[in-house]
Amino acid sequence: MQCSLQGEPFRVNPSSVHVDLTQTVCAIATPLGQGGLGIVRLSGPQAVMIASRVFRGARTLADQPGFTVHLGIVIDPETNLEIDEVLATVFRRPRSFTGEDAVEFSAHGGRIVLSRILGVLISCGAGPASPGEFTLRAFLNGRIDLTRAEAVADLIAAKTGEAAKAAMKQLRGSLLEEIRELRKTLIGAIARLEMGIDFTEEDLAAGDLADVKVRLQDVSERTGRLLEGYQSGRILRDGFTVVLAGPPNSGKSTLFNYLAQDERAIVTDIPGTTRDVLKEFINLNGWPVCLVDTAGVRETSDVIERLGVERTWNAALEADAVLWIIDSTGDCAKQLPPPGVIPEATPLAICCNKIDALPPGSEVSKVPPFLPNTSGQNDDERPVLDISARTGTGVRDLLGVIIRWIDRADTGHSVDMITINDRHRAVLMAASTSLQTAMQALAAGNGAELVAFDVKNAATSLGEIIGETTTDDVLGEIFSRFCIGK
Amino acid sequence: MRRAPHIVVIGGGHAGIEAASAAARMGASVTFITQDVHAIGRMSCNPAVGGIGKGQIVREIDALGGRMGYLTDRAGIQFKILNRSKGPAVQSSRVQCDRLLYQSAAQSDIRDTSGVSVVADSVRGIRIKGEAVNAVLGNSGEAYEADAVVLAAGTFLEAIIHVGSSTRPAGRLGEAPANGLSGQLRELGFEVGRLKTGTPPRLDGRTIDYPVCDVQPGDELPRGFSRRHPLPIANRAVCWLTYTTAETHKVIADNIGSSPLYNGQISGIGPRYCPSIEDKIMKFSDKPRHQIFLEPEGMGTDEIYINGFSTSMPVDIQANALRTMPALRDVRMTRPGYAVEYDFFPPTQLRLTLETKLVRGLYFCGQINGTSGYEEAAGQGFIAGVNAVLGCRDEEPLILDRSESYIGVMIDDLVTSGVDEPYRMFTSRAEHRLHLREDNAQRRLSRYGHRLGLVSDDEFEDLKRQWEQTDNHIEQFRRTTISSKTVPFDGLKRQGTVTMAALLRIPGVSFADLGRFGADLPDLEDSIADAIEVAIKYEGYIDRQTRQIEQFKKLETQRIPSAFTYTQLTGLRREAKEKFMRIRPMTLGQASRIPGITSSDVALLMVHLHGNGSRSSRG
Repeated sequence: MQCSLQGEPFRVNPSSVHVDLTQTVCAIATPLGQGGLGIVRLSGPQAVMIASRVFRGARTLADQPGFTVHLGIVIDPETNLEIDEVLATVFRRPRSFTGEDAVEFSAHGGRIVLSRILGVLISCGAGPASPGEFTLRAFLNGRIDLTRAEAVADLIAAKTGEAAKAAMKQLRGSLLEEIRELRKTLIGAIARLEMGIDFTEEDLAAGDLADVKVRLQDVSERTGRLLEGYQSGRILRDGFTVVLAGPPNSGKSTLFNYLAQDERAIVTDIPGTTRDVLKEFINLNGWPVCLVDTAGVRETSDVIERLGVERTWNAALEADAVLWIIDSTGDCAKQLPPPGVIPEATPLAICCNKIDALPPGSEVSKVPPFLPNTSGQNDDERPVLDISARTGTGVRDLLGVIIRWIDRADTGHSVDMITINDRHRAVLMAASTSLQTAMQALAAGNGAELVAFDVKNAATSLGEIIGETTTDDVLGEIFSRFCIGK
Repeated sequence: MRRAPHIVVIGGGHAGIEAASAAARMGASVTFITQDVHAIGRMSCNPAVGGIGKGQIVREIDALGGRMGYLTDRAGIQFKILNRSKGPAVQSSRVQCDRLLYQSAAQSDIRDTSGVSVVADSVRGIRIKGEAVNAVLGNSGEAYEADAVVLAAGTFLEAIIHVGSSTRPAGRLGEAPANGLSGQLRELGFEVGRLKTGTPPRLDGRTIDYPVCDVQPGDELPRGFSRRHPLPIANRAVCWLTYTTAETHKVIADNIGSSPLYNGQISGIGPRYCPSIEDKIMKFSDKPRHQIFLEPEGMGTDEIYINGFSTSMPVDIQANALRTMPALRDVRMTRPGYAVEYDFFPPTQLRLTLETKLVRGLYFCGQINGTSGYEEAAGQGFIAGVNAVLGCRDEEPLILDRSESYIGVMIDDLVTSGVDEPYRMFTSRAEHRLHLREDNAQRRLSRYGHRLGLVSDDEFEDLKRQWEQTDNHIEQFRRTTISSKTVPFDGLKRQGTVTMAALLRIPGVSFADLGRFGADLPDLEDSIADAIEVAIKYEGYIDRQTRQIEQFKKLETQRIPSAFTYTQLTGLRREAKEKFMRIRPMTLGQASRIPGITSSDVALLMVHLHGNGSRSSRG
């Protein structure tokens, strides 16, 4: 297994998956760029000993029992320089996430401080954890099974309470139960097909093909419903991405900060200040919404700014929705998005910003309340709104629009719905294809052995989700999904 | 040159014949011990070879260079392919045999095999030196020195026959059991279990009213199992079908208390797929009638085997129940049906070579491994005989995997999962069934037989030529077009021409149909025509099955060192650890099939197998 702290996500070759359980490993456990607190996690036989060497507190960490929390300071034992004030939580095997001795340092600092803590732990003998290694260790130590391992990754990645609820539900095994049910139904169908093959000499009722058909349809429909849940699952897990774009200095960053309620984006009066793409998650009615602030779009000769503009268009292409911010004190009609750059299917709102700066009594909206779509119809998915990012006027309406978009994007959403991740989706798609082929073969009157071939394939696919068959691919797929520290 | 290995084969049934014959033809010196030399090759139950899933095994034995297919062709009196309405993968041959002819063919075949000396004796035990067997001890007082021993004792170990309340020690009706051996093996540490099987009565054919039965003829074009059989094959007999009546059911139900199966007299477990008539009537009481097949035992006899009427009821009740069927109003029973209980050794005690894990050089095959059926026994016998010789020579054993043969499926099932009833082959046991067909058995397996010296160079060269020819014809069929004017498919008529392959792919169109549509068909052997038809008709499915086999091979080729210590696997569930230590799987694939083993257990094992080493690859 290769280790890398940054760079391209990579696939783990399962035949080379190995972990040395005698070594102690550490990693930053909180995702990049999220939250003010950061956690560094240490796990393995030497975890408490190594942690103790870098920790100065009222008590020696090495002597502490499991499930105890200690306030202290992480120092560099070589220089005795203080790095940060931390809370250290001690876990004793097997009662920890990995089933091994473990320590978690909860520090205030940002990325740099966390990296320094990691650095002193490594110089004291810990190794850097590979992506997914904590989960892999938990799995190897018998703490979790495959579906649970995946749900934990989702739980850690979950950005809001609603997503956490769905992740918890999967953890409790409702996906497991549904797949088990489906598999059972398919195995029933296989049994009926096999009866007609292996027992034709006997005077048994030949394989009941009508019953097989009903079973295949049932499983096919329920597989379809699980696949629909993928869309909800995706929004809950990855967030609904809203890109803020528009001409320079139209107030994108001000709106971004207003919505994110912090001063993250650099806000100046100089056009073109935001040259990169900034992201922040907000919680909108329980939905994680990923706001993306972008560089202003204008013709420019500045190389760096031009790169930023390119990124903006790319972000707009991948967005679930786009807020196009224009300066209502300028000529609104000239600030509209160039035709064709925002995909027709992407929801779009034109936000006429800075209405607080308009001279009193002046006409507010200079563009019609809806942008026409290609067929010339007013499109209520593409409204024009008057707002002020500085005072908050009209922002509530804007949020209402975003929630409406999410509700539409979310097919048949309910929190009770079982959400699935990318691996589940791939496997369910495979099962669904097998079922279609089987049903076609059945309808065409093909031999039972050919129908059975695809039904068995579908059952095997479903078995892969709940870990009832093991293939290299399943393991590789799972283990490569875990990012460092999760 | 080293001396030829001495192999002792115990038991003259279908497993023993294959073991003795293969070992001798590989150059071993074989002592073939049987209680009664005239019983070698006896068909204890119905006089038929093959059947669904079993026909494939016979073809495999034949392809490997075994004897059963050839003997069956010599003794066959009715040839039939079952599941004709279904695809070629699940079509199986079944041959009704002349019981006496089969047995005499088997005996002369063994007599003509140089290197086999047949000895009439019964066996009381084995002698062990160190961890290996080195002799077989006969009741005659003789000790037969052995480098390896193949035990193929069938249903004879501590066997008891039940007919009504009468029980007697016997391996088959009128044949003494083999007592003592399983006791000795138990003392050595072998686990011993008890199974039960049964056989129906035999009838005097002259007392049967055939006109009230449905006739069951053989196939129009009879096909044999073996290319080695030089004589033409012909259907010489028919079978008959009749049914039980409400009256039959009443006789059985009224007397169920006298059935050893129902009064607690028999404790061994019988096969669910081959229930006694008592079981059929008691467990499926809603069925108004059951099929009964009347099968001739041979050309020179009037004896009839009554298939579907296996029973251990008292003799008079058997007769009364039979006479409730219109065709059997006045029937005379020549032999009663009976049940037999016998010792078997749960086969998880074996390696995939069929050698016992406990005693080196000792191989088990056939019914003592908990299987039923001549074909299953013969398949194991062949593998055990071959591996006994290879083991003596310290050569790589012959282990067929699940993707290349039914024999491999069977042995893997036995050794990895064990049995809880007599094991019979079904096509559904084979996950790569579309590949495991009768038509391609030689292509799958003959190279092994050739390597072992059991398929001659001439025969193998001939096969290779045939395969090449088949491939060329398939190419030809894909390229050659005929006028579509004469084909009865409107959709094709308009396009003017059509390839022969495209026509053959249409459901219901057979190889012979192509000739009727005006194609100029080459004159081909049936087996080649079959292979072409299958290859073209099932192209898509075969491609997909091939990809699955490649996937399967990935885990199957990951060997677990035989000295692997499972105790070092921290985090492995205790239950999983115990299972791995008991079965000692050879590969990760086999490990994954042990019942109760989860994918997590296998993943953990895999990680440890690959991870025993360093973290040196960390970047």
